[in-house]
Amino acid sequence: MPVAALLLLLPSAVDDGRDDHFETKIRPLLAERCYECHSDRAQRPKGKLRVDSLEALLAGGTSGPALVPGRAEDSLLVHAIRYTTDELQMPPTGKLAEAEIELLVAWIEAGAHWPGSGAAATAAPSYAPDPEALAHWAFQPIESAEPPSNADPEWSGNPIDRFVKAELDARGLQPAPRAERRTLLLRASFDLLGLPPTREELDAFALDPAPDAWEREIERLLASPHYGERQARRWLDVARYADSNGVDENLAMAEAWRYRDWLVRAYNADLPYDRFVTWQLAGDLVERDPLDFDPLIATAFLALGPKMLAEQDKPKLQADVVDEQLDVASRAFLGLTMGCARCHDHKFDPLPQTDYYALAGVFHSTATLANTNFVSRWNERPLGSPEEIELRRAQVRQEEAARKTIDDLRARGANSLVPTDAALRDAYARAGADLGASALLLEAEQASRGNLIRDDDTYGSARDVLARTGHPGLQHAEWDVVLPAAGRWRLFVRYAAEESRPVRLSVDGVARAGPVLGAPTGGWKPDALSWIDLGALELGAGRNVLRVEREGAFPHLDVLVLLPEGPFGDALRDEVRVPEFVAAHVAQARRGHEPDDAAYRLPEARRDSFFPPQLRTELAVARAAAAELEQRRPAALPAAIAVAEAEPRDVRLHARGSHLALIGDPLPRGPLRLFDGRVARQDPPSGSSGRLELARWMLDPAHPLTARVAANRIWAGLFGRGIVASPSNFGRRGEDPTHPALLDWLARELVARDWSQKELQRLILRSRTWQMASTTDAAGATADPDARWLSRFPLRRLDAEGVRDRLLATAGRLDRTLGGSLLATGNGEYVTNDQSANAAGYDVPRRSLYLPIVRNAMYEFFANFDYADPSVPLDQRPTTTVPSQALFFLNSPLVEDCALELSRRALERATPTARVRELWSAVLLREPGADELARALALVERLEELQRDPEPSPADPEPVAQGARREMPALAVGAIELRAWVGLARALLSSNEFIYID
Amino acid sequence: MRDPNARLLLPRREILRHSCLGFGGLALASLFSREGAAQSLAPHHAARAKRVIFLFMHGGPSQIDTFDYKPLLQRDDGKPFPGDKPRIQFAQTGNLLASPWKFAQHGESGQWVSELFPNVARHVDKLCFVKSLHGTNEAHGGALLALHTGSDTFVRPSMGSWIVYGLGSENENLPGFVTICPTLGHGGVNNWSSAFLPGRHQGTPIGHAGIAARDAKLMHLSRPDGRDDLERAELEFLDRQNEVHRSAREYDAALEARIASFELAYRMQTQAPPALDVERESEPTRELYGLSDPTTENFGRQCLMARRLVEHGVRFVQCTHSYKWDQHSNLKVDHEKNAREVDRPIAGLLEDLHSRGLLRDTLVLWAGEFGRTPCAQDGNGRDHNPHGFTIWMAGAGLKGGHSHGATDDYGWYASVDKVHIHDLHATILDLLGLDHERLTYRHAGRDFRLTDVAGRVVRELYA
Repeated sequence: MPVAALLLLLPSAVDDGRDDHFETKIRPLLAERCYECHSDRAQRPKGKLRVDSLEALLAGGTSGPALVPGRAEDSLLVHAIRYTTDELQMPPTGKLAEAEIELLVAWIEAGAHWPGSGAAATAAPSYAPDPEALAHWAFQPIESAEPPSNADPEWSGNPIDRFVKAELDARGLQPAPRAERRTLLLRASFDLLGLPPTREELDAFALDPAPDAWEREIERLLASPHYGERQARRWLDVARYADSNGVDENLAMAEAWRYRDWLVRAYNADLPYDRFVTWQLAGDLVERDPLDFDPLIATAFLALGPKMLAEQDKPKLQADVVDEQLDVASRAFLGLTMGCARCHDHKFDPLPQTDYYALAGVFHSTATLANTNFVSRWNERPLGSPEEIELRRAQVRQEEAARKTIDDLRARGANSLVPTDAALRDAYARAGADLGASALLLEAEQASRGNLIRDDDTYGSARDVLARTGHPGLQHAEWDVVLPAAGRWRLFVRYAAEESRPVRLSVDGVARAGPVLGAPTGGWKPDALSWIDLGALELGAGRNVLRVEREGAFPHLDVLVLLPEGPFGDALRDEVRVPEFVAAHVAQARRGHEPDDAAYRLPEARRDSFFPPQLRTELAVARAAAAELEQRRPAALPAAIAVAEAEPRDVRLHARGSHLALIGDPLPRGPLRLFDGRVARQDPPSGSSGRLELARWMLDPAHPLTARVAANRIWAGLFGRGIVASPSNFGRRGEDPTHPALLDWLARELVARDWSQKELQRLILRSRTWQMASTTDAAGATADPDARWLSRFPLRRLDAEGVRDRLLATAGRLDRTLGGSLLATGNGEYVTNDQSANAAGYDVPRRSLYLPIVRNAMYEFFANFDYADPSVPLDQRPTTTVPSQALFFLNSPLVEDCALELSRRALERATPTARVRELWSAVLLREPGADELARALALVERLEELQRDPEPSPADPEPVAQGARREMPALAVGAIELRAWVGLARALLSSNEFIYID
Repeated sequence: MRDPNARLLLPRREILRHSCLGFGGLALASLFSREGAAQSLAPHHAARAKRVIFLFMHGGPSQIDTFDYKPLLQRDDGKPFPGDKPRIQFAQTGNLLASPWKFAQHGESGQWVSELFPNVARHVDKLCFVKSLHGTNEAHGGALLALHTGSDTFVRPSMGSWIVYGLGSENENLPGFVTICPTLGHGGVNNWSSAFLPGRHQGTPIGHAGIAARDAKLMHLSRPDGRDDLERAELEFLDRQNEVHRSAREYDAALEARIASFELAYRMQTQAPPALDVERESEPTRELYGLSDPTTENFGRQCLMARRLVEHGVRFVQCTHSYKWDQHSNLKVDHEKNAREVDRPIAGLLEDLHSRGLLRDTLVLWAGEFGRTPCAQDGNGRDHNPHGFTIWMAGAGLKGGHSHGATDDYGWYASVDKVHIHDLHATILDLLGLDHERLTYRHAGRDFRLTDVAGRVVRELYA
């Protein structure tokens, strides 16, 4: 037996009462409360955890080791029995008694002694992933395979073709013939621009005799400004782009569009993919021209996610934001589902939970939220040169300084109001006492009538009971003042208001000029109660009704005091300057309160008039200076959603993903350890988050994932399906590559061609493979049913944007303006709330790319055509075929309007045949066949006939209330003709040929 | 008007039509299930319910003013709460506030109901209360998402989507999951979204909370000019055009599916409007739901639409009484107003379902996103309380006149037989014959569930 093990066993050999303690206290507790689910007694121990031996506790279950001897705070068991988190509470049926919990905690702190056990505290689990997981294809180095040779000259020019043909040959599959030129150009136009070609472009290319006609078409398309729009849209899916926050507080992210427009620019300029990645992760940290904001704007990638802004557990919010970033970034760039490792080691891929929290440290060291207020806010950064930013910062500093000067002067003034010497206090007190006998005191909450409510709890207190708003709408209160004789009285009110809520005052229905009580006092609660002098009132003999009212929420009222006006002035001695303080003394004396400083509080706006003359002059000067400063304020800089560096911090492992159960030492922040020894990693310089180093690690030429993932996305963009059919999951639960050698070859080409995405697209578009027809025969359909082996080109339906843009383009209505924002809501304002639908207007003929993407209230058209949820990253749009899509074509105003536009144009032609040809040319971009022409003419005739002679309606099987039947509008002859052609145009727009691309 | 028996009479369509009629839409369903539908539309085990009507009380009705009677709260009005307040609170609260309403025992079972629900009280022997429900999120958005999707952290499929994914629809001509006048705030569409499930399992909204139920319509459901005859002619042409296009591409099933989708759309136009048209109901039935009273008309209409929809085979219908129950202040006046708007319609729905024999295999769920605190906020209101609140269910072979679980003496924390929202979800799925641990969907490399890694079926509720 090794010495070390002996030593560990030794203590248990010593009988120090610990055995006894364990057997009488600890084991019975565990047996009674835990064994049922976590021992031999359970057929399958819950969470694969057993607690009937120390070894089992140390080995732990699916959530990791259950305890660390000597370290109760790091022991999951302790968090579970303390119910630290909502996720893991044991026993689930009810918490242990405090004494029982303390017993277990003390036992663990003391080393978790277990009689007869040879087990001892183990070090933190070392990184030892499952060898089988490590052997997964995607984690192996990228191969540099030679393209297989090939005898067929048609299939040997382009290396891509040699890979594909080899696979076809191996499977005994015949490739489809080359597609027609019209098909090719239509396909390329949608893939590269997302727009249909014109009839003229198709005709010209079909007849172009030049040997490089196709290459020139590719170049023309790659150079189009619309190229970037189409490519950007694909990445926006991966980046879960939206113009609003979504989830709980759906605030407009009115600066998000800058990220979208940057993507368009980046694709058009063929920004190399390595910079594309680096900027999105760390654009704020790269060297850049001070006036080039693109790298900064690119970091919106990290900040665009949905966030539970009203989550009141702000550390949880922070952890959730980091989780979202980490998950999106690892899916987008690495094809890894890293988010799975938040709560436990990844079940399938070699991604331990410790790696998750090492990576999380990078994002915890990044400022994504600007604040964690009640409703938190994401980070934005100004777009300006350092000088411009500094100018504005200096301005802010100066304005703050000017404000502080004013505040200091006013504080001095306020202090000067509170009588410091007993003599002055006495003067106020005496003045109060003189008037006390004749004063009238009206408690606000004891109004004779009204709808204010009493508050001695939330805002008020037992001493200062307040009257305040209790109902929506008009607030009012009335006090009856009964006087033996008419006279002049002076009215004082004590109230609190954090914001200005001016009210109307009337006496016996006669309104006083101007609002009162509009001056804020600095708060809603009793500590902000202040006195205000409302001046003299003429009151008559008998009953007078004093009334205050306001539409909407009311200031908080404490008390009203009326002092007789006549003797009042006389009673004031020279040193008594503030009449309110006399009223305050009257009130304090009447209510039996000890005199205190609460008497000497005035609304801010009122204080100034009592300041000493010198102070008032200084204040006037300071205010003038502040006003002048404000005049000089430079225009605000535009801002972009962007992250910044935050105080760097390494985080500890969160047991079960909970920020309340932190375990072990902080994990040094940085990338995954999966490729250690193969991919260089740099430690972040002190004071930095490590995002730049993370990007460099991803872009290391030896990294097995980054280039493969990128090449696969480019391929998927041109074939509708990736070589790996799960582009954001290259893990063991993802799809295996159909052409692994080809994928590796493409990945190497991408890196070799300086990460140029256009270069790789060029290569693919020139291949024979990409130029295949989409047709097949029975044998091909059986052997390669979904065209994954590329025996033909896959038939594809246009996506949501493609359908809409093609409709608008076909009708000649598409506005091709580039860039800008169409969001109708101001930055940070609510886009949707309970009662209001999204204000964003979608009835604009701009490209679909520019329509606002509002989370929680997605444009119905997009949702209908499979672009449903911009809150989660999408790697590939699904293609569903549902009746609601058909209903859209049959009944929507958009299709109706497009059909109308097309019909008007067709009707400009003289003959029905010419009109049909016009429609075919506009919608299907070709000539109609003879059969088609005949059927089209027959339909138009039939539609005209039906309108002239409406067929009788069949009886409705269920009874219908009156008025439900629709009146048939009488149509003029011209309208009958137009409607008939609209019918034909709608049918063509609805056809499969229009939305499926060969 | 449309002839509901009208078809596009083309020879090939005939075959489809027959298979559709003959097999309850299963043949067609398989055509449309190209994007990963459930493995089987048969339930995992014998179901107690076939469909769900979810009456959602948005804002958070107060358990201690409706169904969870707390004598000590009445006694200790104005005193401090003797226990600890939660670690995270939405707003600061003051001292205990007694319920302004009297409670009485009702029915043979003697369940407690306050004066707020006099009509529902007549049906307590049909209701199965859970008085120990608890969640985690103290803000509306998070709590709505947790109740509807099981997660207040991530975007996840809604329970309606999971159910339709698991069971399919009983009527392929109507959407399987309909939500009437849902809120667009507090998670909005994420509360009825299918998230990563196939898009056809998304809830179909009829209107939204900002408009009256009488104006709520399905999108694009009818042709603006109402000319069914013209449409038929157009569709016949379209069908022919698509057939010719398809003849050169006969091995692509997607084209066939889209051709069929127009057939389905055509039938949906015929079937959906009557399914939604409450004007077809008899006067006594309309009266039962309070349709002639402006106070109850709106929610009554929602409830009656829900009954018509489930009768037509819709699997999951949600009615939302929108964002009205959030009484941070003015509890007395506003809770009374809210209860008046829903009490009679809910009672009407229960009675109507019962008398039609539908209640046997329909689950009715009444719930808000959380309850409210026993301590006063703003003097005369209550704050949010996700720690212990009451929901009830009816039908579906549940115990009637039964009460499960309890909160503490003042009604703040669930304390006896606690039921988490995950447990509620597990139970709802179980009632429908679905095993919450087996109803999974593979996404981003792992199998997701409505109940994540939690959930216990509360069999104690079963009769």
